Amino acid sequence: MMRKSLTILVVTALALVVGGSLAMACEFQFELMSPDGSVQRIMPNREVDLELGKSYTLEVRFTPDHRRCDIPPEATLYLLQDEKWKSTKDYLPLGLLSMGEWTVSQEEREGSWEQELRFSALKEGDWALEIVRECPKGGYDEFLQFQVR
Amino acid sequence: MHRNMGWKNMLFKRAVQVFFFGVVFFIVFSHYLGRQGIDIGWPSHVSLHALCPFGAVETAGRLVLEGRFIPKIHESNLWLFAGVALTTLLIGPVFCGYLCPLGSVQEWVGRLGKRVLGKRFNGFAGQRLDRILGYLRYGMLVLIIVQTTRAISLVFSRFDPYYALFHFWMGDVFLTALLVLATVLLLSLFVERPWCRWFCPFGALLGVLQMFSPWKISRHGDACISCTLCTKACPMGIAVHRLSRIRNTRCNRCGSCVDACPREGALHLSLPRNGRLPLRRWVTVLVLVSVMGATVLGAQSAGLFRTSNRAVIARGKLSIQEIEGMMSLGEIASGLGMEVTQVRGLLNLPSGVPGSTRLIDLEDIDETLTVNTIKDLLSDRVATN
Repeated sequence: MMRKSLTILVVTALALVVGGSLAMACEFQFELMSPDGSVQRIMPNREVDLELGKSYTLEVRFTPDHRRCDIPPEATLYLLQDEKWKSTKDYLPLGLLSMGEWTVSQEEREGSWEQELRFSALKEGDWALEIVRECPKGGYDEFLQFQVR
Repeated sequence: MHRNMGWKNMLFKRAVQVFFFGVVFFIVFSHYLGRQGIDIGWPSHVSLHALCPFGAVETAGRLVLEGRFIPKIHESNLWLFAGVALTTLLIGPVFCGYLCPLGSVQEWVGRLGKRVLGKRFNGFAGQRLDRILGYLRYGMLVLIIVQTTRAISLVFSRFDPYYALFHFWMGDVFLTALLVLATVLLLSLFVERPWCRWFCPFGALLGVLQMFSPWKISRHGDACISCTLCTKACPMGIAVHRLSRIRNTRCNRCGSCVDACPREGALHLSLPRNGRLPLRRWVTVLVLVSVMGATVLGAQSAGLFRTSNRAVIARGKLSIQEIEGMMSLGEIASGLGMEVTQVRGLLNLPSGVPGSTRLIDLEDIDETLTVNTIKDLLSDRVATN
């Protein structure tokens, strides 16, 4: 009886640990929709090719990696060339066309948020879009690398 | 005489464990107070993620492949890991036996289990099953490194019982982590240190490293009376009485076997051949604290013990080119060796703008004040002043 209980406990712990790990929850997930409608998942710090003059949609999904996050998704910052990415800044190499509101994700489990950003590749070169969340629990600071050709 | 020493050693071990548990709790609680607006200095600003030596292992894949850390992991994790790894290479994984608070808590719960179950404690999983389950640790280690590298996120924190142990009262721990912690504590009533034995990925890595340490528990056949008390006392289920030198990857040098031994000189933590240079309990703890302390303090004094992405700016040591958008007015002023009022003046900012304002937020006050224009303004005006 005791041995059976122990086995159940071990299997429970194992299932929780492996199951939790396989869920592979990214804190931030990025998808880029090209003008032809194709969608690719992009990872921070890995170069993505963009065509000069074309418009793209960046879908950002944020899943807090702990419960009761005090910092709302709206506090997420997008920095390009070390300044806030805004649609009014037409001098930036990636021109922001629109920045949607953060909405609760429909696909993911409860607690995930999504935002859509439309932008145009305006200048040739290598550009890094910094995504920052300042948080006492460590926060997030990563770069999406775009190559405009 | 020897029994008396064993009791004293056990008490010493408990005291060390309680002390380190208290240190970690103090850091977590200070951080909590910091979030509530009560700043008590350095610990209030540091997340526990940045002070976990296992963080260095979690970020290893990305660090090798991309030269970058996983978010929330910093140089501090590498230095702490270096301290633990060095100690392990020298005298074995005493970190697990003395410093790891999750190991200590399992041991304390296990004492309750021993009282309730008596001789049946530790006897539920047979030796074969125990050995097979022990391999899960390596699977966990590989799984965590691979998944963390793929997700670029601390996936382990979602089910990490160590994180849950110190944060459950804050309400920010995922249910999976709380369930893992509860299961581990429940298992601890039946088996000694179940997490360490079967699941701990950090213990798996330290277990491999300890194979290279010259100091190991040695049994001296001449003095041994094969009473098996050492084997019964081993929290990791190692058959100590059958081995002359304990190379088992689970041995965490806790010394329980040495304490249980009724014959003085039969068991030692010593160098190979004839038990040379046996280490007493307090010496192993001293080595652990010294190596960890020297590594951390050395890195700290060299300015390399960074616990966040933002560089610590020394007064008067910042050049205009190094200014970044996430820096605050106060940091810029200090870095340039000025007062905040002077920087506000140079940028024509109203006096009410606080020193904590980030440079990227200044464009919300004056839309021409982007980081590049701030740099231009400061370089012109600092030069003319």
